[in-house]
Parts: sequence; structure tokens; C-alpha cells
Amino acid sequence: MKRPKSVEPPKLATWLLERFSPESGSLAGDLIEAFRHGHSSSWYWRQVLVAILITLPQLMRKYLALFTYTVACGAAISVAWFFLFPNAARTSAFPRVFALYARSYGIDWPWSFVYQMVFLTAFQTAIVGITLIAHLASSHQLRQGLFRALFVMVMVLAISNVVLPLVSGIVRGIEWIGWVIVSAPAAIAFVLGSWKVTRSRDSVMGVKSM
Amino acid sequence: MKKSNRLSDFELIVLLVLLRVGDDAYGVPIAREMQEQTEHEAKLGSIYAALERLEKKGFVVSELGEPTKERGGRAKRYFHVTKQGMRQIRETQRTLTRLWKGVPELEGGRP
Repeated sequence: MKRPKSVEPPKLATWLLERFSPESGSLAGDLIEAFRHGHSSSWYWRQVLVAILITLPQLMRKYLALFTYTVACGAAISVAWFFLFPNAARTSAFPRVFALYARSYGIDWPWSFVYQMVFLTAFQTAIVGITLIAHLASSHQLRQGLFRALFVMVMVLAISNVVLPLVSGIVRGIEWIGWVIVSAPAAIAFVLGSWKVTRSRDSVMGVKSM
Repeated sequence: MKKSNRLSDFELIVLLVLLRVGDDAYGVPIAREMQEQTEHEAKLGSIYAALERLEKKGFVVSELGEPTKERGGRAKRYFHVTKQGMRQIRETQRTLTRLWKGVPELEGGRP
């Protein structure tokens, strides 16, 4: 038996649209109306994805400083992570990395993996959160100076962090997989930081301007 | 350098569609009319992006209607072409007509 067509558009698509295209109330309404007049879910998804892709550069421009700041913080955390755990960078093949963790912390696989992900993600998210709050709370002049200094420093460290192991041949062949895995926490920090920025920027600025 | 107020092809199409739809020009009828006239699937996101650019240039104004249940409680946004927008359309029309004239390949309706 053929399932009757839902009158509700895909909720996830609507949610994504309103999340990443903040001034999209009327657009979302138009899409819902058109969907209820017979368009398919795939049509709805296509429309939402195009709308998000079109709005993203605009959103990025609007929050460029904050996005860059978040990315810089994530890169700083990544660098700090390799400084704190240099063995992970030298032994990037992931079984070896997790064996190393198990030895370092006295925790066995798979809990070593869980520990690494939970601890580092929480740690990095906290740092991104604190730096963002400091960024929002500080004066414009101070922010500019600190931001530039931090940005240059982080870029130099981040580039050397990626390039040096390659040039020196520490990371070879399949070890790239491990390299990606040990870098994952920083990537998560970028995503969470960006998420935080897009969600809280307006409300924070609204309070400040009152 | 002064930012150009010239219309892109898509912006011109959107303005002409707005004129064709008239007073009821909000997202859904605009997209429908555009699809009918151009015979391509109209993307509402692209239309809104163009309308926002046109609004910034002063060629279009918009106003919000009442939220309705059919639209999940979201209001309609109605768009209208301004006098400045009309002037720009006419100017573009004159320019295009001038360019069209005197090109042998385009005369006589042959490809």
C-alpha cells in the first residue's frame, strides 16, 4: 500500500534552514506552503540546501571576525594538544596512539578512546567558549590587537605543525588516518565554536546594546 | 569606486516577474511565475537573495503580511518594485534594445 504524502515538510530541513539562514522566516513559510501544495520532500530538501549555500557566505562575512577567532582558537588548541602529547604526533597510526594512551593513563581500549574524545573535546570546547566570551566582553581596540597577535602566532604554529612532520617523514602512508584522528578534537572545537557563535552572537550583542 | 547599481540577468528577471505577479508578489507566486516563464525550476533561496540585493539597491521594497497556519505560523513577505526600480528596468531595456539592433546574426529570427 502506498503511504499517503505527509503534510509536514521534513523537520530537519526546516530546522537547518532557520539555523543557518537566520532571516529566513518568510522563506521557510513559502517553502512550507509550496510543500503543502504538492511538492516532494526531495524538492524541499533541494530548496533548503540551495538557500543555506547562498546564505552561508553572507553569514560568514557578518561574523567573519568571530569565525576567524574561533578557528584560530581551535588551531591554538590543536597546537597545544601536540605540545602536551607529542608522542601522539610521532606515532600517528591509531592503534599505536591508543596503546600509548592506555599506557599513559592506565586505561585500556576502548575506554582510552572514549577518554581521549570526551576529555579533549570538553577541554577544547571550554577554551573556545571562554575565548569567545572574552572576545564578546572585551573592548573593540583590545580585541583587535589581541586578535591579530594571536592569529599570526597561531597561523605560524599551525603551519609548522602540519608541515614539519611531513617534511621530516614522521607521518608516512596509512599513518595519515591516525593523523586525522588525533586532529579530530580540534575540528570538533571549530564546529562547536562556530555553532556557539551563530547561536549566541545576536542575543549577547542585544544585551550589550541595551 | 562607486558600487554599480546595474542589474544582473537574474535580477532583471526577478523584477519583471514581480511586475507580472502584481500586488500578490510573495515567494510562492513569484517562484511559480518564474518557473512558468523560464521553464526552469526556480530556487526560492536564489530569488530571496536577489530580492534582498534589489532591496539594498532601492529597486524593491518589502512588507510583512500576517502569519498563517498554512505556512507554519510564518508571515508572507510581499515585494513591490519602486519608482527607482522601474527607471532601472526601462534603462536596461533601452540598453539591451540598442545592443540588439544592427546585429545581423540576431535579425530575421534565425539562429
